[in-house]
Amino acid sequence: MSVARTADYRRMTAHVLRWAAWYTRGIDRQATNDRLDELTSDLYEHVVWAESAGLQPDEVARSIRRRRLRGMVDDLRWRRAQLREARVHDPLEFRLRRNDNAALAITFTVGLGVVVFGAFTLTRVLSYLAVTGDTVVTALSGALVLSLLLSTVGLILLGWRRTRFAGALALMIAQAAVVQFGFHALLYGSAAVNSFMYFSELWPLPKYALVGALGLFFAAAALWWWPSTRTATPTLTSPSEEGDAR
Amino acid sequence: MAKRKPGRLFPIEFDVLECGLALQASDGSFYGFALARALSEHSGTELTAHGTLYKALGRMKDSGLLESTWEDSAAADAENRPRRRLYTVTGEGEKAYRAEALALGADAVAERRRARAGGVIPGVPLLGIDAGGLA
Repeated sequence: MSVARTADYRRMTAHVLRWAAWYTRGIDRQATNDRLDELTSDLYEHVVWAESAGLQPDEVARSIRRRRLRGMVDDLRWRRAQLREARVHDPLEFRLRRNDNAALAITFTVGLGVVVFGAFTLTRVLSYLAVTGDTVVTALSGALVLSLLLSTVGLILLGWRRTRFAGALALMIAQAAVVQFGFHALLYGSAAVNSFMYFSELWPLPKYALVGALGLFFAAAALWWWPSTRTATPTLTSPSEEGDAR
Repeated sequence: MAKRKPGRLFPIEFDVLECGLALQASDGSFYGFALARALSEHSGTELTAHGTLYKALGRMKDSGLLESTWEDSAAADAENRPRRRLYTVTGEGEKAYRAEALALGADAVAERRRARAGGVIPGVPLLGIDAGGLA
């Protein structure tokens, strides 16, 4: 049986190409294509040579795996060099990408804060319910659970570039509910908040300020990731020499 | 990461140039896997890792020691295989190789070749790079 048709060889070549696709992500398209084409050719030549040398399929697969593993550090160094080069040649594109990563990290952290706050207030109100059996908080607990679910869905939607705007919108709605029901729940679940609400005339202000600030923040995030109409962009790079772009 | 001394080559660059010049002398050019095989034939060790090999080739191409061109698709299609990226050692690369060999000294180069020629992969013919032929 031909080595190229064995499951071991196919699995190992798939691993090599998957790893290459991972470390070439976000890199200049020409450099990426060159690397992937060169690896495809290498893997093909490797199996042709292995067959002519009479190597067993498992030996070939092991050899390819070792070549991949031993070269990983160099692959990552190559990636770093490519990104450094891209930063020098196209600082605007690089800055946009870096800002996008920072926006995602901040939005995710704030969204996680909303979820943690909601979960905390839910545990307080549930423990109040368990101790007192006061069913007046049952509906409140249900509303908190629903808002928490919505905010969790929002966090998950932030995971994909295409659904980020929807995630930010979901968080914008969910945070208003979480803060509203959360403060309400703390009225039952926290003696300190209860006392503050009863003795301060200004108590609703921090709540509304928080809802407003978070609403504006998530609205801005939704606008940042709002899908734009795709337009043709002119190519700024010069044609490559002899089919070699760099 | 190791820093390059001014005017000097990394060991892998020296080996690539040495094996590349030998392959080029017989075939006119060389490609990645042929080079990996040539490097391993003379060291008796495993084939050079993908990352190490292609990073070194890219760096040498960028610094003008090598030139590369993609093989014509028709030639690859005729043999029903992926296109090869063909490399050639430039005049500058050959000069750098000779300068490095001189800097290392004849004994060191011979010692390197002896060390590399310690083992041979069974079933694979040697390329026959002469110890004194290129230096």
